[in-house]
Amino acid sequence: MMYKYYIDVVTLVGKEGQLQPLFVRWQEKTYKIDQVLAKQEKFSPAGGCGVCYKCRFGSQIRNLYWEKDRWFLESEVKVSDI
Amino acid sequence: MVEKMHRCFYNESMKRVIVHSDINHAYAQIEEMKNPAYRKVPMAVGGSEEKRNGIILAKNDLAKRYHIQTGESLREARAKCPDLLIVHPHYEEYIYYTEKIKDIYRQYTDRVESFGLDEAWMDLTHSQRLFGDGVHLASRIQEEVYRKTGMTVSMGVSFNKVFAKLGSDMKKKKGYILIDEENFRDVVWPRPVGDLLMVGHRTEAKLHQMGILTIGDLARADGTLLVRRFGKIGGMLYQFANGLDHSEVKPVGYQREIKSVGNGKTVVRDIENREQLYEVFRVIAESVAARLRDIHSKGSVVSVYMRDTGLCYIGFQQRLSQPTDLADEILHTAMFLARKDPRFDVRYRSVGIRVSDLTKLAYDQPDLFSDPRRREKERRAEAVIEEIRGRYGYHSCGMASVQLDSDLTDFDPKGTHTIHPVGFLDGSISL
Repeated sequence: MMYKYYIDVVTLVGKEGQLQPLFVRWQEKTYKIDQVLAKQEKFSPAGGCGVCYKCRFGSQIRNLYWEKDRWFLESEVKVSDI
Repeated sequence: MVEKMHRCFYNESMKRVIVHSDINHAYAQIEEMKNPAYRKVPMAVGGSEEKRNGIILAKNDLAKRYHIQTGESLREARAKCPDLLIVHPHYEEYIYYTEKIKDIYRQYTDRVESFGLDEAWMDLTHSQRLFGDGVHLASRIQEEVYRKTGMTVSMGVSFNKVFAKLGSDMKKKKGYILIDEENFRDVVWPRPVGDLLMVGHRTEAKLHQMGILTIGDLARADGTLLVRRFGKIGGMLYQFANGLDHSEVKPVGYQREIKSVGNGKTVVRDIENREQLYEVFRVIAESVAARLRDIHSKGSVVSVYMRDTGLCYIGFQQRLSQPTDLADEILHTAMFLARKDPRFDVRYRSVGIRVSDLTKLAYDQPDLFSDPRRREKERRAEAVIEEIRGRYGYHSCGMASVQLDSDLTDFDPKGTHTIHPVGFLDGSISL
């Protein structure tokens, strides 16, 4: 079971309009995206679709989706207060 | 047959490959895609019971098992399935996601013609040079749509638009039906004549009276007799049934000529008298007039429709002495037409105004008995009201009388008008 959470993302918008996610804010904490491993358009099993950025946060890998005009994070962990 | 079709499409003669794609139960599928939990319960997209536009717009597969029909009231649907989950429509989302899917089609051909929000034709004939066999390409596009959006589209692949559409109607899941020049007699002809594009309930009933029950019967019928009975449409249907539709898939960017401008409203409570109807019509007429001015057009025919509480429909139309884009003239004609309703004590649930026979005529025809500058002054006043509304919001400016019954008149038809149903025919019929 996958869950999705809309979150704040610090993003660099390139001069050609390309997006590069840099940091995510999750429960008042900011996490650095160390590397974008892959980028492809796909749907999320948690619901929604868009451009999926496979991101590495330290040793953790998470899918971050650009959906229409906002970001969501796909996670196997259910967090009730978000 | 499939192998045969591949060879048939892949040869150098480049036979036409027209694909019609249909996003299965589009509104419901978009809601399911956004929220996968909806797939596990009977769910339908429907209007609001409070606003009384409560009909089923689309339903998912589980709701279909309860025989819930598109277009029936929420009450009827709930009687069939008490646990039915009703999701209110999100039109902006539907426009966004259906366009996203059409963008995938546009990567493969410059000929993508929308047919409503959820359907489109693609001409893959010339794409075969770049991407290979057209039938395989259709299948690849279908896979790509699923991979990128998680939504399924059914497809009909054929050598003309009419059979392609029929094919996609026959296949309601992810998959496609091939109808080629060799198999169409076996695949298409046994089907009921009502399945053919442009055959509505009324035409179907008339065809049945003539003993034409299947598309094959129509194809074998006397063409001259059909023209005599139905006019040009009869000849067109005869050609459709025989696979002789040569109409082109319109290129990307093509815009259909606007034939009419109209707005309708299902009001929050019934319209009980002429004064209330006048005020509701005023709001609608202002929107219709503003939309006419936006496209720099005027219309010569005003039509009204009124639907009563028993959902019985009555409509009238009137040709004007000269084309108009003025709310006041549209309103007065609409009220004149509404008075033609012979029923007393009738309460209306939804009403609408449409202006058709559009022209780009820039000048007003002066007449002997009125101020020649009246129309220009009115046009300027209406344009100013529209500009104020555009800048400060719809409610910033309006007639004081609409405040008398603000429950009934508190809506902005222009701002909320988003969905345009389309017809197959574009311009006059040429045979």
